[in-house]
Amino acid sequence: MHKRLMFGFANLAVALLVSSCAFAQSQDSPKPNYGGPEDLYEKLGDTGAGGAAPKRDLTGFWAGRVAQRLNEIPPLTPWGQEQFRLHKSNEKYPVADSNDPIKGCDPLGFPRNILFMTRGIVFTQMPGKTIEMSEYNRVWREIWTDGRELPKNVGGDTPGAPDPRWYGYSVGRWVDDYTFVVNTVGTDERTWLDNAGHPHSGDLRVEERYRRVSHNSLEVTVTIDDPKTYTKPFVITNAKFTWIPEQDFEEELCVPSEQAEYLKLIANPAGNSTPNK
Amino acid sequence: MRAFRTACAISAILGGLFSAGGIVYAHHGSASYKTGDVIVLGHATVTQFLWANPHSMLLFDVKDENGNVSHWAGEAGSPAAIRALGWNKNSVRTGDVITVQLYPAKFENAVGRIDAIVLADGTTLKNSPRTDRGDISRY
Repeated sequence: MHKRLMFGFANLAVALLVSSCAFAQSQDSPKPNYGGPEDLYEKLGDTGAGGAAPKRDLTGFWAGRVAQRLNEIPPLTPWGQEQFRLHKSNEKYPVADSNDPIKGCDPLGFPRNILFMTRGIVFTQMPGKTIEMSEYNRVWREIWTDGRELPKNVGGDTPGAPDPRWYGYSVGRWVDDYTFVVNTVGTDERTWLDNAGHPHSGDLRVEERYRRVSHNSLEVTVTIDDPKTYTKPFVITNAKFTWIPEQDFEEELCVPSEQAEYLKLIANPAGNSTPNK
Repeated sequence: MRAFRTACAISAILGGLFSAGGIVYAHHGSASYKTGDVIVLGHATVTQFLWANPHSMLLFDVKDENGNVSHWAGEAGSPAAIRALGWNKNSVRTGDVITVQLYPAKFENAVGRIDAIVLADGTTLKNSPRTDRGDISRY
């Protein structure tokens, strides 16, 4: 309690000093206000259960964190280490020097798109398939629920073998009235697992286990199984989503022309050791 | 005056640490910026505001005490990210005089990640920071 109080006084003192400096430079500047929600997920706050979860139904618009909290990544295999070494993430490098695929507005791909830029997701169910859509870049995935098996020869040499995809091939099933399990294979190796640049191979298998806890609350556990890249399977995240009352979907895209402007005006100068004028 | 400037510099650093909750998260990461070091630029004259995806951008001029003008560029979050914080595409217009708080580039170019802006009427608009405060090493 005492420490909390001291921290509070220190915080207040610093805030006052910062504001006084700003005031000195601009007579119109009030004290900065750092309160308020940071995104829709936080803005919604605790909306309560909203009643019992409907059975076998994920339909609707859901808000999540921009970036999900990730668990510890297990040791990589030698192949995985080599791929990881080649990835220059924005976490370690200025954007100007990074080779993150999204720098040029390439697709996030799966499963990165369920770990990052997850402000909004949508499920809609129809006979034989469930569609999961992401607010970011307005991407959708087809999750087949008609009992078909996953393809076994993605990227194979035989004629008609399916190609690897940015968002893979997915099938889903209800394991009980509130738990929908999705399995995915056939993802494109060009995509990264996360913002740190962790790689994955074409052998990657992902399980998403969605559990509708109540009408307003959805939880998902994502398990990564890629023996070519990681020494053991692991749960990469346990994420939560909240029902969006107005069911409205923001438009959030990576627009190549606007991204090019960003690189020219901001990212490249920020990563340039020669000061601009 | 010198002491005051030193105090301002210290407060800016501490302000970043205390108020922003640590490293600022951006769609494309924060490796370019001094993430613990907020600077305050008063009397900033807006030259352009780009309401853009995946980053909004604010271009503005700041004049020093000798009358020299620096042309700054600051990045903000996407429209979807900062709309939830009270921004809209007309929040600032060319010619507006505002205060800009930002995390400057490590290489000391006149670019940075905006922490917040304070409009002439006193309204503070916070930029979208990282939301994952529990695990800074991951993002």
